Order: sequence, then structure tokens, then C-alpha cells
Amino acid sequence: MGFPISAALLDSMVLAIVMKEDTYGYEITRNLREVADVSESTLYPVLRRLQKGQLLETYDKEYMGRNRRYYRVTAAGIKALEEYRQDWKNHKEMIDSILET
Amino acid sequence: MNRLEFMDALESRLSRLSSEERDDALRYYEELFDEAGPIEEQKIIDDLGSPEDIARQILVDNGVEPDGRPQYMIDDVVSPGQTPPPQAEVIDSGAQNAKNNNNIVIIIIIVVLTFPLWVGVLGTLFGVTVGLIGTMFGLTVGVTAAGAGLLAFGIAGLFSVPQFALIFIGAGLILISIDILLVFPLIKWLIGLVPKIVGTVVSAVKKLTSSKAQPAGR
Repeated sequence: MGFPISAALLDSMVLAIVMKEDTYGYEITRNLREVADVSESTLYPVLRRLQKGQLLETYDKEYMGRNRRYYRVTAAGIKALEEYRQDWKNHKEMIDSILET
Repeated sequence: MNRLEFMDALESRLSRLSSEERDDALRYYEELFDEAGPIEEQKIIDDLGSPEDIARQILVDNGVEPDGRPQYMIDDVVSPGQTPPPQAEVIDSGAQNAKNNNNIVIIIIIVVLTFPLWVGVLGTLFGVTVGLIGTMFGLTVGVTAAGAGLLAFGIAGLFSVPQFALIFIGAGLILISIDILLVFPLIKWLIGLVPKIVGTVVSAVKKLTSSKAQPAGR
């Protein structure tokens, strides 16, 4: 599989994963790993950027005697995800119009 | 490399970041190790790649220029293989080098030509800072002395001329409270500023010298 994953695509996938259910960094990577070869160190900048853009926010929840940092999609994040989904759909249809026979 | 060594290496390379950014990054990686557990520790470290590369990426994302070129910018395409194809890197860095060398020559010429100007500017900045600190110091001493004097004077006269003595005591207390409310925090702030200024100057000088040293090393 030789198609690179763009930063925008990573952003939208992370938003979509967190949208399903509030979750934490390790779990997000595990989810992404199912479709792409992304390492934990790729994810950190993505999470930080989404946080700074106020598309994601964090809260701490105790788990086995330590704090786990959970991520939650903000209202702005929900809107951004909708736009991403629309953009992706258009993009996919355009590519398919050439690729598919 | 084990977890501790990894975290130490990462932390030392992020020292130029604000403490908030640094703590956030370190916390993310600590949590990762916690989630993976000790059995997976080595596997995680292998997956992550070197702490140098990770730190470089974080520094670039925060607008802090690391030493050397970043592996990739986060806003660029992130390929599934994590690293860009090496041959692209080689072609690219040749052109980049020539450009860098040109830039360095221009920077050196500008620095030399404007020597009198920036010495003046630096001198002025230094003078203003020292002056400000001196003023604040004088002000504190003055206000404290005046407040204490008025207070003492008022207490001394409390029984002979109580109507005036109370005014003195009041004025003295007001001055002392001004001290505590305004002047002390201001001085604390100014003192806190000194290491910051020194740090900025040092890193600027470092940057200048390291960019000068680069072409000679190649």
C-alpha cells in the first residue's frame, strides 16, 4: 500500500475515533494501526495540534492508581469533522471516477 | 535503551521548550509506557524511534529551531512508512546547503556593517534595564523608609498629639501597603526577568555561532 496519509487525513481519523467514544492516546494509536502504519510518536503532534486548534480537549480519569489522559471532541471539533467527512467524500468520488472501471 | 534512558534523553532535548509544552509531551510518553506495561517496554521503544527525532519534531512544531534539519514538517505529508524516502532527502539537502551558505554570508555582512548600530542598541537596552532596576530599588527603599518613619513618628506622638499622630500612622501604613501590594511583586517580576533576558541573549549568540561554524565543518 503506497498511498501516503496526509496530515489532514490523520486529523480527521483521530477526530472520528474520539468522536465514537472518549479515549486515550494509546488506544487511539491502536485504532489507527488497524488501517495505517502510524507510530505513537506520529500521533503526539497530531493530538497536540488538534488540542491547540481547540478541536479536542482533555481530561484526566483515574485508572489503576494513575491518571489517564482522555480526549474529547469539542463543538468546533464536531463541525470540523463534518467538513472533513464531506471533503473526503468529494475527494474519494473524484479519484474513483478515474480509478474505477 | 530502557524507558528511563529514553525519557531522560527526550527531556534533555526538550529543555528549550516552555515547561507547559515539555510536561505535556513527557506526560504523553510516560503514559504510553504505562499503558504498554513493562513487558512491551522494549517493543515500544523500538517502535517510537530515537528520542532525538521525536524531540526534533516537537521542537519544530513549537517553532523552536532544532539543530539540523527536521525529518519532516507535521503539515507536510506523513507517509505511512513514517520517514520520507531517503533519496529525496539527499537531493533536497544539496540545494538547501548552497542556499544556506549564501544566507550565512549575507547575515555576516549585515552583522558587520551594522556593528555600531547594534552595539548601541544593546548598550541602550542594558542601560534601560539597569536603570529600571535601580529606580525600583530606590523607590522601594524610599517608600519603605518614609512609611516606617511616618509610622514611628505617629506612634511616638500618639499620646501627646493623637489627632495628628493618627494621620501619620495612617499615612505610614498606606505607604507600607503600597510597598507590599505593588513594589515588591514588581521587583520580584524584574528579578525573574533577568535570567530570561540572559537566556535569550545566550541562545541568540549560540544560534549565530553555530550557523557560522556549519559551513566550515562541511
